[in-house]
Amino acid sequence: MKVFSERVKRLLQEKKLSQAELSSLSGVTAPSLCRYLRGDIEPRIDIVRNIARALGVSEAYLLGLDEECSVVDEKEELKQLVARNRHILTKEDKREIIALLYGEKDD
Amino acid sequence: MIEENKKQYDKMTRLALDVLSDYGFFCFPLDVFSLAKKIGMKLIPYSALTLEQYMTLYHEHDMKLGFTVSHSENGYIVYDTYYNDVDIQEPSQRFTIAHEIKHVVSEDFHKKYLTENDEALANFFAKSILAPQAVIIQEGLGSPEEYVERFRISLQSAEYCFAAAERRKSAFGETFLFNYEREFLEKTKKYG
Repeated sequence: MKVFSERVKRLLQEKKLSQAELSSLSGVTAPSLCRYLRGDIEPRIDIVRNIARALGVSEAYLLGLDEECSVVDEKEELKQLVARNRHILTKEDKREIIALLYGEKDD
Repeated sequence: MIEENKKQYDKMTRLALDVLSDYGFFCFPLDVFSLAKKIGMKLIPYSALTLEQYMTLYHEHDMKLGFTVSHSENGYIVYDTYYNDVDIQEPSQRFTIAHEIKHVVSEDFHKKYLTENDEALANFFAKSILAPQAVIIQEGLGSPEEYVERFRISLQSAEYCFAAAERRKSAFGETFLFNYEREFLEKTKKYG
């Protein structure tokens, strides 16, 4: 499962995401994520799927069965964008995003 | 054969604690609905179906408790788990969801068909995730009724878990815990 951890780590670098952010996006706890990325244990299919979704790539790519990371999930990309930039967003920015999400600024 | 069978069941006990640890569920009664969603399962209660759909499932297909179907969505496999919330009590609904979680995390859906052994293992996994023996032993729970109260499981499941815990205590001692169980209990103290 070396390929899995290598590809996840590389994607984290490319997408400028931390392991803590991946944990939050994928729903997998940080200690478990750490164990999977260290290669201590083999990830189950649900773990691979949740991490693949969070990173917007295919499960096959993470498992080394496919060389192209073809799946792009726009929703996940958007979540990543917010996660990546949450430190530079002001309270006002965050309020505006929430208002957009809840349809108060549909125009 | 018996040894092989025992190994499979031991694996289920461990798998249950791994799933709980991976998704950060350390409180009991387990919020099995939230856990299933976090794993990536979409839960659809029978009450959301039309009467016709419900009758077809219940009578024609004999799906009295629930079932899971997998399909592809945006390039990912997703799991739709239907469960009977119409004429099944909540503890049994929780058991159905826990049972379906096992099929999802063990990739049972890749098999051509599920055997009786697959179903028995899923039932065992469901009991292990809803009422882990590590918690039972640590808290010194002493009767099926206490299990019902603590884990919100049916009396039938509680009686099964109680008998299993008693067998284990006679084999290994009253307070014996495996290392992986101790690690899990540490996490329940820290995060639970």
